[in-house]
Amino acid sequence: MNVKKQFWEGLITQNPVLVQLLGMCPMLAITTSMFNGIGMGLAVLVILTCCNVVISLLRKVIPNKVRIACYVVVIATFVTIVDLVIKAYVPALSSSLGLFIPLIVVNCIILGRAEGFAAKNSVPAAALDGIFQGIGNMVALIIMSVIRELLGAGTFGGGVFGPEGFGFGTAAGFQVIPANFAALGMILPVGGFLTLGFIIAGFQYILNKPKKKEVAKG
Amino acid sequence: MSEKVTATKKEPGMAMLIIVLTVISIVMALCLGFVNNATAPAIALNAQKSKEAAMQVVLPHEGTYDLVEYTGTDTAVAGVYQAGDEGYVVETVPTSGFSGAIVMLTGISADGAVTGIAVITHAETSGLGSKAKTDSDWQAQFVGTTEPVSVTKDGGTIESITGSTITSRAICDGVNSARAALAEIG
Repeated sequence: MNVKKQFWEGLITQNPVLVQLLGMCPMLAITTSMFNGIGMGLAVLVILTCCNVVISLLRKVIPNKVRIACYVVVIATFVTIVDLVIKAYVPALSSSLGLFIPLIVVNCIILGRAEGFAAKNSVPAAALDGIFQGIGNMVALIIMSVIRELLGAGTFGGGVFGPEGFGFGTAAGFQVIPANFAALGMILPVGGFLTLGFIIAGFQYILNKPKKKEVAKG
Repeated sequence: MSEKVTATKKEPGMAMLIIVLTVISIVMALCLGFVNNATAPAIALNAQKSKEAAMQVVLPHEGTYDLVEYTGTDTAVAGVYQAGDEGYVVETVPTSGFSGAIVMLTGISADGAVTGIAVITHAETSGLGSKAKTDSDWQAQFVGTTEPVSVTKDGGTIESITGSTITSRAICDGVNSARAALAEIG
């Protein structure tokens, strides 16, 4: 078990979104305000960690032939639990993320980490993997939503804080760019694809930069 | 790597597969039942709150909205609420939408004019039919109407949402159901 290695993998070198390209659907669909980014990131973080722990616990019990079915049952359970809890205690997040919370069931980050990591590693390692991969996913979601919100609506911190202070789900955010100059397209799906493309390209550039001389093939 | 795991493990029989999957499913179902039980009251309270907030929008009224018994046959009418002397709010669920039922509120004043509409839940296409919920300019067309409404394509006065005539018709149906229900109640 190598905590430091797992941490850097989750956050940077094996970032679930920017390097492994998992979980693209919520990444593109909900990253329109900082509130959504943080909410989705936290939901995935909690679900991923719980699923990793349970699947790692059961890794010797689950027969290989029905493993995917077992994983999906476990994942669906945790997603539904989180969905119910959000609906009950954070209704603002529930109405803003809507269908995308139940859709975490088919988010390939969760199944990918279950199959690729939790099923082969000890419980503490799987828990750490869930936390770090979840943080990596959340950071990517927040970066993306801050950029899209800034360019698309001209605000910063929508739904989290604003001139009136903190207000989860209600704060309007700081108007950085006058609303007239904001490009609505950045909030629409096309802006999602554009932003994601630029973020991934920039990320790959930074990741590969030091190795530039040794990697001749590119 | 998964092949390695398989090779070292003895392949379990069919019965084992079924037992493991069943046990996991039962345990998970129990967890879900427990969480559902714990959160159901809070969720119902939230739904109630958002409904009351929507009622204030369609027919502003200080005080309570009292449920009135509706004995008519229109299955689209889900509830009629009296807002003092100011009028009624009718909850209707037109099923003629593009996908699934639309739950909506129509406020009708004591003199029979529509005071406002609000869509609570729907499954219409995001960005097209969903405008019925979010576009307050479009909803404003219904305000003040005293006769049954229909979209311009059907010879009515309601300008339908671009690309969402079916949704627009469903909203008209909901408003008309609400008006008819009040006529029956009197």
